[in-house]
Amino acid sequence: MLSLQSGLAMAENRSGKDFILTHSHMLGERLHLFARLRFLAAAGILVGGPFATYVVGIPGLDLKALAAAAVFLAACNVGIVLAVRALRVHQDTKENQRRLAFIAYLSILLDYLVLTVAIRLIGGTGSPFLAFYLLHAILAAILLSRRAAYAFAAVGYLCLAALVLGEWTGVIPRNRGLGIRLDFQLVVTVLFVYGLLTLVTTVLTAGIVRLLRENEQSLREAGERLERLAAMRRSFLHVVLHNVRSPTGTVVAMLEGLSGGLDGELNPGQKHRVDRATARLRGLLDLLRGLRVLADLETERLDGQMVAMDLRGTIAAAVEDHQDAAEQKGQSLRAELPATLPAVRGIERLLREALANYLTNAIKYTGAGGTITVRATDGGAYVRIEVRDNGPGIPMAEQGRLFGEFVRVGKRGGRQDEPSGWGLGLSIVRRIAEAHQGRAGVESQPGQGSSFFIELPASSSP
Amino acid sequence: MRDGKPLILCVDDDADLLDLLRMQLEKGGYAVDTAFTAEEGLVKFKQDTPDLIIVDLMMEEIDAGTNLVKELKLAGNNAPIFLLSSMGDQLDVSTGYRQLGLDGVFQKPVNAETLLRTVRAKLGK
Repeated sequence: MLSLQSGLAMAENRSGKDFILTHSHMLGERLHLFARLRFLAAAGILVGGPFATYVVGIPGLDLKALAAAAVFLAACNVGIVLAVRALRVHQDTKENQRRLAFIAYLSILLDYLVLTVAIRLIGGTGSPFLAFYLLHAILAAILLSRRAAYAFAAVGYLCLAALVLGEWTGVIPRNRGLGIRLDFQLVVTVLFVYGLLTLVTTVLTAGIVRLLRENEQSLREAGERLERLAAMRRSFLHVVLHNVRSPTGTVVAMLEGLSGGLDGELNPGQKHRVDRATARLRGLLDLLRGLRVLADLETERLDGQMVAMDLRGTIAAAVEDHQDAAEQKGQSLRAELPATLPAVRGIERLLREALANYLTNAIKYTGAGGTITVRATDGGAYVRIEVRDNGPGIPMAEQGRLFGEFVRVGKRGGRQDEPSGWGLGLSIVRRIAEAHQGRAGVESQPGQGSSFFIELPASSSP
Repeated sequence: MRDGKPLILCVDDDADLLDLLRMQLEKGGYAVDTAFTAEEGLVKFKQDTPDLIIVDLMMEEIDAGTNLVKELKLAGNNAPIFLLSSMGDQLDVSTGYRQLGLDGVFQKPVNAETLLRTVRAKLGK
């Protein structure tokens, strides 16, 4: 008997992740993206100066100073890229998150510094490139927390104001060849317009980004809740199936003991009824087993459990498991296996379950004295296992539906007094084959028997 | 051995199944000792030195059966060990069986003929 408590303990182990603040989540990736854009900005400054001078014909640009600013920006950016690459591998640790946030602050300060120098070189207060301060305010709102975004927008505006006021008062020398005439009205207008734009841009961007972060956070929390619920449901199902199957199996064993005369011989009528009851309960056990396999296929991560395996051992074991049942019906059951067979990547337990379903069906639907053969063949890129019987065969019209869930197709020659199945067996085979990137199918003609097969991709490593 | 018969220790938390195993094995000519928990199984193993051991994989705790097998190995067991398992108890069960060095697995519900045939083949009597 398996307790629900121990089952739920399994669920707890499968769920639970460290909570990650949304604005710091993926900060490394975002910093890396912006660093690549920064290289483009450096290249733009480097190429833009000569282009403006020699193509557009703007006079008075200090090309050497512009080139120096671009090289300085690019050199600093190399350092940023290297640091971000090193830190983003384990960016979910709190220490690395702090370091990444520090790099984000430094990189934005660097951008403001280079931007201010570059704008000073290409026209100062009258330059249309002043708008780049707004771009940096937007970037800060995307990259950083809300408070940091406002702080950096203020820093950007202070840089702009220092440049404008510095040029107006003569503290910062102006590039006279480029700038428009600087008077009080222009200074006030520039400071007012850019102040207002910086404020509005930051408020709007930070607001939208906050909404996106909240939504992202809600989605993540909902995902984690669903994962926990799925794990609990999985464990609950596991415990229920086990706790129903276990006593059912015991009752079957007791009834078989009774039928076999363990407590004295039964008369034919009593034995018939006990055997019927046993057969019905075995059907129930088959259903419970099938449901368990389907639940596993739905929820388990199977890739990690796959190993390279030789199917001949699996086939031989499955055939041995079913020899008794075949003998009881007077049938011949044998395996025909080649000397060598390419390995496949698979889960032995599941593949044996698939084979068990084919063999159970073959024994059930093939008449007394029939022949059932299991063959494995090397198909080059795949390995094919087929279970062939000389039973009544299946009409073509019914073959297409056979592998669906809860599909039962006629009696197919099974004894009329046999309990009918639940229609799960072949769908389980199909699902197992698909979980192995393979396929399952049937080739049959009425009166000429059936061949149920599974094809699995051959593995390159043995 | 007990009274000249090979002794088989059965460990399962299902009293009915234990009773049935006892009857089937005794009818097959074996002496049977039963234990209801893994702890009791270990105690009886040390007391009686069985010739063959049958252990249920999943008792009250998920790993009770496999843990008992490990404990038996540590306690110096050389007797063959068979597990009782319901199909699909654990997904990684096939690899676990190999690592545990088991002699075999009986799928529940255990068929009496299969049980006796396997035990006879293993014990040679």
